[in-house]
Amino acid sequence: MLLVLSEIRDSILLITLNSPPVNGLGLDLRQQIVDATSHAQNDPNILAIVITGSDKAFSGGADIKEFGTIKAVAEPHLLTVIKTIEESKKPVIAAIQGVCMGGGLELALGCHYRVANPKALLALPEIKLGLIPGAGGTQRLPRMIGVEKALNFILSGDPLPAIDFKESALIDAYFEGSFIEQAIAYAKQVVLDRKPLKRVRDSHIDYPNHEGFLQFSRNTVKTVAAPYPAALRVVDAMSAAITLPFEQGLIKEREYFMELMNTPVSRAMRYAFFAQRATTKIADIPKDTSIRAIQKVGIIGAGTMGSGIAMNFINIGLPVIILETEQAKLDKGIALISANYQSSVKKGKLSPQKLVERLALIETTLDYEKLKDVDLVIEAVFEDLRVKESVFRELDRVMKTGAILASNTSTLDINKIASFTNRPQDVLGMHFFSPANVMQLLEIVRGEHTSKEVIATVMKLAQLIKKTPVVCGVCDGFIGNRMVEKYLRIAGFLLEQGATPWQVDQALESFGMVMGPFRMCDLAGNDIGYAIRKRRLIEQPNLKYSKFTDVICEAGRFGQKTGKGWYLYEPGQRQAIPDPEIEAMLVQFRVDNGIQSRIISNQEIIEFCIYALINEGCRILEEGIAQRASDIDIVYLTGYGFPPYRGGPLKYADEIGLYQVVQKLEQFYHLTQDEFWRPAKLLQDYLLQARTITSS
Amino acid sequence: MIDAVIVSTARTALTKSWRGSFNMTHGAILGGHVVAQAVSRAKIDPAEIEDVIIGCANPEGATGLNIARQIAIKAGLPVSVGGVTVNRFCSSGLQAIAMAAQRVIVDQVPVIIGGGVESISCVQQEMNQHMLIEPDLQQVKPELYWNMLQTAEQVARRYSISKDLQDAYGVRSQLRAAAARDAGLFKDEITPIQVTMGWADPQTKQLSTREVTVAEDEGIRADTNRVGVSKIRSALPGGVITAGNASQFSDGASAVVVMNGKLAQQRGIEPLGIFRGFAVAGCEPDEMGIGPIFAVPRLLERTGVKMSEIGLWELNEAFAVQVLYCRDQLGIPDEILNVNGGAIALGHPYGVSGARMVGHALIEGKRRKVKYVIVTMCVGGGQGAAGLFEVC
Repeated sequence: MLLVLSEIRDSILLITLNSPPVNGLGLDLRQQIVDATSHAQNDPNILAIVITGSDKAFSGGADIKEFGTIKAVAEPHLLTVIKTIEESKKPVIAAIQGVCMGGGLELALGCHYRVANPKALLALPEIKLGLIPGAGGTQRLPRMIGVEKALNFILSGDPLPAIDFKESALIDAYFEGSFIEQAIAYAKQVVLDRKPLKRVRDSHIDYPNHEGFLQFSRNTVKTVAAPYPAALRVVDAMSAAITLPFEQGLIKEREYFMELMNTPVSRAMRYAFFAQRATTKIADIPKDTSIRAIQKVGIIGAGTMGSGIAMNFINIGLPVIILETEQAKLDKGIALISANYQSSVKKGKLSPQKLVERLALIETTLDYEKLKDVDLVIEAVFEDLRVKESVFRELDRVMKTGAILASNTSTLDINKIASFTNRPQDVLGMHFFSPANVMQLLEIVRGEHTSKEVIATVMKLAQLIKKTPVVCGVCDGFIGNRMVEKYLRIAGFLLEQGATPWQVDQALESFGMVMGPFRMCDLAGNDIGYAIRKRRLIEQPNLKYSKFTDVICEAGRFGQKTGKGWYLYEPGQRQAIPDPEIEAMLVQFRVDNGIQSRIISNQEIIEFCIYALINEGCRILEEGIAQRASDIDIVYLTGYGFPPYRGGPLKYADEIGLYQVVQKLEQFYHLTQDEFWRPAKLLQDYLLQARTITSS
Repeated sequence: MIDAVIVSTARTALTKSWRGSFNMTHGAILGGHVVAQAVSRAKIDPAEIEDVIIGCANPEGATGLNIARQIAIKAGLPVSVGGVTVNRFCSSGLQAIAMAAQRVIVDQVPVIIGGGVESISCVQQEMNQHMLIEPDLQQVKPELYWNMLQTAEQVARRYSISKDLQDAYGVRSQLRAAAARDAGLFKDEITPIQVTMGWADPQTKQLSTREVTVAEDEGIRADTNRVGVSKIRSALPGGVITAGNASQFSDGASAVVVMNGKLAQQRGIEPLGIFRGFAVAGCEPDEMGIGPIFAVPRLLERTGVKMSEIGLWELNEAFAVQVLYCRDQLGIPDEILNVNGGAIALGHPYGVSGARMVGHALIEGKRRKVKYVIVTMCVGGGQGAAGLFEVC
């Protein structure tokens, strides 16, 4: 297949990269660039070369489809492509429009001249995959834009418009309008003026006291990016660029790049990158499934959840109508939304004009009839099946044909909820996470009868409101809460046996969890878990919980909202203060229940809690509640504060190795005689088959 | 008998380590600046200076390779001037001045520099760890290798000094320093300096360098209060020492010009004070903070000066806990102790503090018209050092 288009215009060879969508630098494209460049060397009709892409993309960098395959490193390697270009006897000019990222920018840096559309977007985003640029980016960029700017640019990985570099040597000329014609004219001028072959590698970096600044940078980066080794390597690569001859600098860069490729952190980040993209692919729902238009959204309930959910839609300009049972509740909800936007205005993140526009998109009502023209309604009322029933019967009565009925339930049975209507095909779960306007995760719960069209429509909408949607089947707690419930249950037992809430939290936070389980419960409200446990006691009377968690609730310690939970809270403060009273209560509880307290290490805490997530995650996978292992990991990365550098519970299990995981689970089972710890069948099967969980 | 007199002093403002203004400034720049300033303030011919004695607690890396010699050259002194770096950890600056004075007295040196430099920012995290610890010694005397935090906790435990008292002292140091700064009481010591610093923008997280002029101590927090300080988390789990009752990591330099008293008189140079004596004493390393209670009595006994004759005390605030214990053991009246705050507020660049306190005690002593001042401090590894000066 022809991935580069070559044509000669006025003695200038125009090489147009033509590998949609973003000219990913796959093996074939690399080969064809080398071929075209090499051929030009001996063609007397060619005086200079212009390399360009489409107006959308010069090149987005490495071809992600090649990631991890032999093709990624096969010759001509990107380094070879760049070398070929740089060593060209005829001037090579990169003409950059659209995205120019990673390897794409490194390729451009190998050219003798660069011209760009001012709006072209440049980035070296490797850090987001736990890597550093590996094809000369760290060595060439500081030669063009200076050490400090290059360091920040590579450390952030975020794109900047080409015009931002106008003070530097990076871009030789900016063109708008008839871009290619101007680029060719520029190339002709280079030939006409007999301009030198400007090789970036030949420029010298003059940066006094680099040791002082780079060590300051290391110290700063160390504290903000502690578990991510790539950040420090960016600084080291800068040091190589400043202190070593170019070729040796390149070798250093390569050494750091390879080293990072083999870190669990980078493996986890690369995995998560693909996992994130995979969630919207649903095996039995083809890409071309028709979707319904959503022009107006109804929200039932103006509480914290309801108002948070509403903001998602008004943020993208979709009008919403919020229904409540009393005017006072509506007023409170609107006040919540308004206060939230006000604080964004105060922080300068939102213009006062936008605030007015957004609030104008909200309509409120006490009357179900008003919902009859909305295309989607999301129910966010109290978690009680009877309440849900009355809501859904009303919705079924008033809503137009083809409207989608969603419940924001976090644990209840969507099939049951659907059965309250005469249109179960239009009913599904849309489980938002609190705060709903901030949290990225959205669990899309697919009921037994939910139509493909409905799922496809909601998946698309979820992306529009910038959520990460993960499809799950119906079960108690879906993916996220079903797992967290097991995790909390185990954490509860650890308290009984001798740990304190703060020890457990600290251990798991040191593992990388954003928030330990008890601080998390205090934030969510301990009464919620209490209610769920009461319900489960009826449904699964054999499942044991630590009774101590109930003791806490019975003492009215519901968490932050009551000023007391697992911790103490000062009025208006969110800081969790360890409470000696809890320790006393624990001691008393152990005495009352004849439990001998033991010393529990942090390592043990981490293993118990994280292995609980792993085991339950595997069961969820085995039951087909989740479509793929990586969806489960995405739920944990985007909704539960699992450390991104570990890739999610299942990726973490693979990193440990399933043999170790199963062994540990069996050990826990023998220790506790708790059926929960029997290794999931999927784990045992995969172990026998020598498979990993996340690669399948 | 020759008098060694101190005729001028100059110091940089003290800056927060790592995040502060000197976070990428070489020791030679810091030291060179204050030495040049002290010399210029003394109005003496640089060629008359025999030696530059500089105290430094971590004399390696950016304060390595005999930093004193580099400082002398950086200060613009002629190559005929020598340089020697001395280390007695936190009393290095005082030690350097004492040695300078002793050279005047014993060796009849006409003019000499004493001072201190420390760049915790650029040195402390990059120190050479090779064979740092001698295993047998560690077996016999493990406390010798304790960090200072552990020794402070030990003093708090052993002598039952409550966290409340320590916090109160911490607040007092901050408020006194803030009041002193506002009243301009550090103006005569501090010499502004322009440097390039590494800067992390709190909003954008961008790292860059910027030119800054440093003229004020960065550690002073005028809004410090008991409630706030009591909430700071302890540095060690279950401990009482916090950032609110311990000295701050800082960078800086300070120097004095010491000369023969008669020579000063001939030149019409008005001295700030006269060196009257210096003493050190060792103690158990696990309670190094109480070192001054051994050094001070020795100093008084040797010089024949009585406690009651001391009009002003600078007792280095490594930790509030040891200041409190030493104050009470020595019977130092609180109203003449660290009257303008100390290292808890201003910061503690180890090798600098002694030199800073000498300069400050002489200037403040003159304001108060007292006769004698004592500068004393505890020293890591288990020592105390103390110097007696007569105010002119």
